[in-house]
Amino acid sequence: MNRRQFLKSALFTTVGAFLLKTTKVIAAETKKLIEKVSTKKYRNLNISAIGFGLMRLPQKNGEPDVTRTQAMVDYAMEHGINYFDTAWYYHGGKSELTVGKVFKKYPRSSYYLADKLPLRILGGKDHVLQVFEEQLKKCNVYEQLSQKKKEGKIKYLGFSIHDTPELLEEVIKTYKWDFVQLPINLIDWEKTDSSGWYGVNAKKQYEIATKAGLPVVVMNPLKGGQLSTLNQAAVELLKKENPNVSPSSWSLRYVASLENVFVVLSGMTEMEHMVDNVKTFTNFKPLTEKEQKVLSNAIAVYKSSGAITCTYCQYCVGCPIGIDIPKQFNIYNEYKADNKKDKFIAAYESVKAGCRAQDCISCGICKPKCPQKLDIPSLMKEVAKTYKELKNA
Amino acid sequence: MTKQKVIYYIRLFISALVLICSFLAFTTTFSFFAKFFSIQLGAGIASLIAAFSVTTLVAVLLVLLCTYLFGRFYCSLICPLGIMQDFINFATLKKSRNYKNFYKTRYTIAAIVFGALFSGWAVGFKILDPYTNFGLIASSIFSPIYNIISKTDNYQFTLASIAISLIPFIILIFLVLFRRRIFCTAICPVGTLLGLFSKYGFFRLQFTDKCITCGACFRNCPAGSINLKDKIFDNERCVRCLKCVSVCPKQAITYGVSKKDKKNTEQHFSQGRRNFVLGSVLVLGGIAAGVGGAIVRGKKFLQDTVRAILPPGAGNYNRLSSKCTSCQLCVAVCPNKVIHPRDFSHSNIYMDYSNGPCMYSCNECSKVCPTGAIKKISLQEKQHLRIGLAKIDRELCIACGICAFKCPAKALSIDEQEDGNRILVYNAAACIGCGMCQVACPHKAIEIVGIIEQTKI
Repeated sequence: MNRRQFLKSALFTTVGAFLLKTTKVIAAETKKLIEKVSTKKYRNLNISAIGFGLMRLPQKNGEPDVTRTQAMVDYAMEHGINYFDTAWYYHGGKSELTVGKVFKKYPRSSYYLADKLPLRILGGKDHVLQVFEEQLKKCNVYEQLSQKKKEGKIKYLGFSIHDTPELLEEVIKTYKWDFVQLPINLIDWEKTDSSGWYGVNAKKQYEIATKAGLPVVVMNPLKGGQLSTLNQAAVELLKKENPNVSPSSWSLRYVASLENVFVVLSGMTEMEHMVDNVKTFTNFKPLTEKEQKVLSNAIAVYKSSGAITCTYCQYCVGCPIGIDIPKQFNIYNEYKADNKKDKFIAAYESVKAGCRAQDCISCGICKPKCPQKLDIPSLMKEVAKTYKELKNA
Repeated sequence: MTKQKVIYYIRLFISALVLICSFLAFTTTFSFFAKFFSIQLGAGIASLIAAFSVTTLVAVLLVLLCTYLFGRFYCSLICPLGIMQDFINFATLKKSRNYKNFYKTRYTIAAIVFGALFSGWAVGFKILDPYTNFGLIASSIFSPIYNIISKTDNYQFTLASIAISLIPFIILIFLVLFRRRIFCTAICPVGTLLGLFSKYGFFRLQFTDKCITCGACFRNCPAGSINLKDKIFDNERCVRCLKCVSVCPKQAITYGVSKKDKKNTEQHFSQGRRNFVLGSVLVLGGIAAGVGGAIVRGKKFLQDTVRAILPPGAGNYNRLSSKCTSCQLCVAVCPNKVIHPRDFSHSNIYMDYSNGPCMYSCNECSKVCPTGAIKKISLQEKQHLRIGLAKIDRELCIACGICAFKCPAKALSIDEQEDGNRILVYNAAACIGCGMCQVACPHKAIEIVGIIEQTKI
């Protein structure tokens, strides 16, 4: 190697190294440029105001699709979402397994994970207060959990509940909790109104939790996606006010604006949902008073359409007759949203004969399973009646 | 009378006894005889797959071990269809010629049948299992005759079920007239399995030097297992009917440990490497066809959930149709005649409450099912197993309360309201779908509907 060659290669190496360094710096800078979603303070933790609910993951062959879930979780982590919520029951037990796979690459300290015990498996499925109380004592759930908390395996102990304000109050009174997870959305905000909606009185539940000093995690903010589709009239009202945002963002902002709410969970199935939610929670702004009125109006319009308040959570599966209850309600609700008669009839008839709404024998085995407290047999009759009328018309 | 003839008549006597007991099991409700069928080999093997139990495994292994030691005595002493073929042959007085060894046919059939069975589909057994066919023939053809003679209404037969059972019966008579026990040596999958175990068996029938080659044994052998030229028996096909022993004028056939005679050890009936290779190809092909058939069926036809009222322990419709061989034993033992035989509109047995309910204190069908298609469940388990649900027509119901009085599961009750109105309250969570209410209701307001899966409550 002569001097000239030495100089030449030295020059190339320097330039190469410099270029590499610059690229890295630029990449890092770009990464920094990604705007993170807004956070809220819970104790000394900074938690993203939007959480990722893992009950409605993208599916492949009836099981959570790990690849697509991974992409969504990556996007979420990148944008600062750090609260994830799963449970034993979700996706027939597969949600927790998916969590195990998808979060492997992230350090445990970089995200918060909420999981729930399957009370129904622990013993009995009755919703009755005494049984629930007894269960807690019998299974030693609370004592054991608080023990785990002392051991450091549980950081914060909360509970998730779909029930009446009375039961909520009872549970809060009986034990010491760190937070509570409640189903809150505008449809359920007030108790049953004259149009026959089966609200769970979320307002009262929120007030009870706030009074007890328990921060609230909100689940079901979009009522199983109903608040992201609404019906045409309601969507028009919202678009008139702000044509650039989705209906979901309205409802999410509504619940996130509540003072005592520190994280809003949203079950997301598609990447679009994730992108839209991240957009909503980046530089989060609470709903103004005017906006609240617009939203309330839109919800009232939607409610008057007569859709069933099923969130398609699948808790009711196992109909002995073989009726896919959420599917039947979904078909009905889509009709209530778009009023397309032929589409409704076609969708209704695409279900296997013998497993349609009209085949319900009103045995009521599904009723205690419904967290929304729907009177499924009578609603099923309503679906069947609608079909019969439209068919004969 | 020679000693040989006495032995033959003893064998005939035992066979006749077994045949009569088998007929009684299928035509009457003596479930004592029905239990006897748990030692049936084909049903036993099917039951190992449907509902494994050590007892069944021991029974199956014992039969196979004895077959290795003593030969296919099973076919002439235990198998009711085999004995029935002897009887048909005797009754028709037909003497047929000897026939060749259909080993390719039987290996292929057995491979397909067992391949499908081990992949969870008992279709081969439904068509070819000797015990199943006997059950069909006995219960659907002879039972009605018995009923007419004894003037009892003991069996829910229909013209369709009789017609379906006539098909195997006619084919069987034809086969017997044509070549006597050709079913056992060329078709029956259970026989083929037994043959493989007895092929190199321990005790065999053999010719002694007293043989004068008169050919009496050859002409009388129903299984075509005698090679007169080389004076040897094909132990794989010999069903131990002992006819040859009894007809031999010189008493030249003995039964004993196989001699290390070159003639006996050599394969005179399916000799050569070529045949072995061909046989292997057929067997492997047959297994592949059976397994493939079961998989295709599973993918194509078992996806659907079917709603049906099934005998308690059957699980669901797909399970039953995979495991049940339609032997109809449950139909025969059901005391209330709720279980009906298969007919043109039902490919399996089915339940119908039009004549009575499934009795709360009875689990006979589960006790006798030899294939495990109806799982063995205790009476207590049966009383907590939902097999159907009640559909109540509120417009017909007058809340008289008879159903509530009769319901053994306490799922129905009458609620007297403040205004004096009475309403029928149905607690589906406690209902097991026994049909008592449907039968009791004077206004036909209750109907039990099938469910997709039997569930414990």
